[in-house]
Formats: sequence, C-alpha cells, structure tokens
Amino acid sequence: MLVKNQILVTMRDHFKIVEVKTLKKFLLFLIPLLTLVLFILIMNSGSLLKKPLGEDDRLYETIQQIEADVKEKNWDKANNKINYAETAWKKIVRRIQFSVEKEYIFQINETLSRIKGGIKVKDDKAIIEEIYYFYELWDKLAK
Amino acid sequence: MFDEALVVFVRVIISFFTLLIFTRILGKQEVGQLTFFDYVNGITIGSIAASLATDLSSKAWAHWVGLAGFALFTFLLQFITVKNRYIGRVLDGEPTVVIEDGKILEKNLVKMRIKISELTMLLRDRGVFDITQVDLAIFEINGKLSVLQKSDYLPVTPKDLNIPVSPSGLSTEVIQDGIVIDQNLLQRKKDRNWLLQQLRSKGIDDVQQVFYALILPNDKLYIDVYEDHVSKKSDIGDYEGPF
Repeated sequence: MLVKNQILVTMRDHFKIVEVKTLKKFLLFLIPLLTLVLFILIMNSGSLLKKPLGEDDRLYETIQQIEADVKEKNWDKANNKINYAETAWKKIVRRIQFSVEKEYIFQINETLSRIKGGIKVKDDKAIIEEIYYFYELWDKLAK
Repeated sequence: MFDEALVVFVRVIISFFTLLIFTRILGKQEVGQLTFFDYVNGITIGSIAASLATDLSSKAWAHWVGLAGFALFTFLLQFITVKNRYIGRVLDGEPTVVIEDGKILEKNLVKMRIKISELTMLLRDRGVFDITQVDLAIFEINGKLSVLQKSDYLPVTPKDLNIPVSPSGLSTEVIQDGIVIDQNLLQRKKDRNWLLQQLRSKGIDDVQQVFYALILPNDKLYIDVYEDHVSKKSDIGDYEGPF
C-alpha cells in the first residue's frame, strides 16, 4: 500500500513537471506573438479611433454642419460649432496620435484655426475652401 | 492634445520589443555577424528600428512593415542557405586560399581585393611574422584569416611528449550569490551533503558566505567567498582620484 502511494506521488510529481514545462514553452511562444499582435493593433488603430466614440467627439459631422451654416450665413451657430469642433479634435488626437503622421495632426489644427478665423470675419469663401481641404485631410488621416 | 514625447515613448516600446523578438527569431548568426551581408543587414535593421522610434513624420506602421520585411527576408535567406548548398555558396561566397606552402597566391588576392599589406597585417594578427612558416592561409567569408602553420612551427602538445594530463571538460556552477543550484549538483551526481562537507573542509559554515562555487572537471570544488582577504591590492589606475 505504502509503495503504491509512493509510486502515485512520484507519477503525480512527474506529470506536474511535464505540465509546467509545456506551459512555459507555450508562454514563450505566446507572449512574443501577443506582443506583436498588440503592437500591430496600436499602429493600425487610427482609422477606427478617428470615428466618434461618444457625444463630444463628432468632428466630421460638426464640420459638415458648419458648412451648411456658413452657406446659410448662420454665423452664431457656426461659431458655437467651431468651438465644439476644436474640443472634439483635441479629444480625437489623444487617441490617434500613436498611429498617424504628426504632419496630419498639425495640418488639421491649422485648418480648424483658419475656419475659426473665417467665421470671425464672416468670410464664407475662405471657410468653404478650408472645409473642403479639411475633408481631404480627414479622408487621408490614418490611411 | 498631441504629446510628442509620449508618442516617441510608445514607439520606442514598439521598436525595442519588436527588434528583440525579431533578433531572437533570427538567432545568433546576426550577433556573430557571420558575413559582410549579415553585418550590413544588421545595421539596416537597426536603422529602421531607430526611425520607427523617433521619425514621427511617417506612420509607425510603415517603418514596422520595413523592419518586419527585412527580418523576414533575412530569415528566408538563412533557411535557404542552410537547405541548399549551392545557393548558400552563391549568396555567402566561398573561403579563398591566399597562401599555400609559404607561397602567396596573387591571383586569389586580386580576386578578393586584398592588399599584400593587409594580408601581412592579418598574419601578424594571428601571431605569424614569418610567411615561410605558413602552410595554408584561408581568407574566410567573415573577413577573418585562418592560418595553418607548417608542422615544424606548431607548438608542442602534451601528447607529443607523452605527458599524462588531467581530463579537460566543462566546469559546473553549483553556488551563485549564496544560492545552491541543485539542478547542476545533480548533473555532476553530487548532493547538498557533499557540497556542505566540501565547504566545511575549507572552513565555511554557511552557503551564504559563498559568492561563487564551481565543480571543476577534475571533480574538485572552486570556491570564491564574499570576503576576499586580499592583503595587497594591485592598483592599475594612473590618476589620483576621487572620480
């Protein structure tokens, strides 16, 4: 009986060692693989993360509304919306900065500032030009 | 808002660990810089990794694809050169004999584009100052020179003189930083009792006092304790401190 128990204990220990070794081997393969997958996801997350995730980051939609407001000369509405757009953009930048080119971020910053300036002086021609430039930048962002 | 330092930091993490994983997959060949191509390839991979970390004017993904591409092709080439001897020879080149029986083979020197001054330098580097002593000198694909001296000039070995020697082999670490490595003890068919006995015979009561201990090939134990008791320390400094 005692011998039988000892054999059982030895076998259990043996299987435990084999199990630990297999687990280690598996982790040695899995950890680098998961790391690479995570990196690839981070580097390609821009096209997904530029889309709105809540109520206060609807940038593209807002610019479209500004375009309509400017065409109808609703300057007060356009002014409110450009302020919202700037805050929304800041929020978006925080999450897309790891996967897009620095230049695109700066260019969109500049365009938003120009649109804001245009609304202040009520220069609808300049605003529409900038808005269409923004559409182009937005389309190319994270692609 | 856009935080340049944070972005660089995240990209450094991506670049660093990707490079670590890739070089680990590519193996030791890359570290040893086996051929000139491996050497240049290694530099290129390093350069792409650096751009990945700090060049924010383009997407991290573009650099990463470049890095992965270089690693992939290096891996494929390694695989092909191992599997196919002919392609291996074409890609890596062949070792070239440059001195045979004390005579310099000028044609091969020209083929390898090595100057005679470079050859003599490489010979001196290998400890050969007299070209007539050389039986064979081969220029290897990693840019090193292998030299076989004529038998008359080779050093005498214990075998030549029929001197009995103790067997050579590997030493096994059994204590490191006061911690006993049981796995290695078992490898040399010893146990803790034997180890403690050996330590006691040298006047050491506690394993914690030992910094490093080895079982030598002749089964003797080499012990280095933390307290060195060196009476006279050699000073190789040439400037009075403090630094």
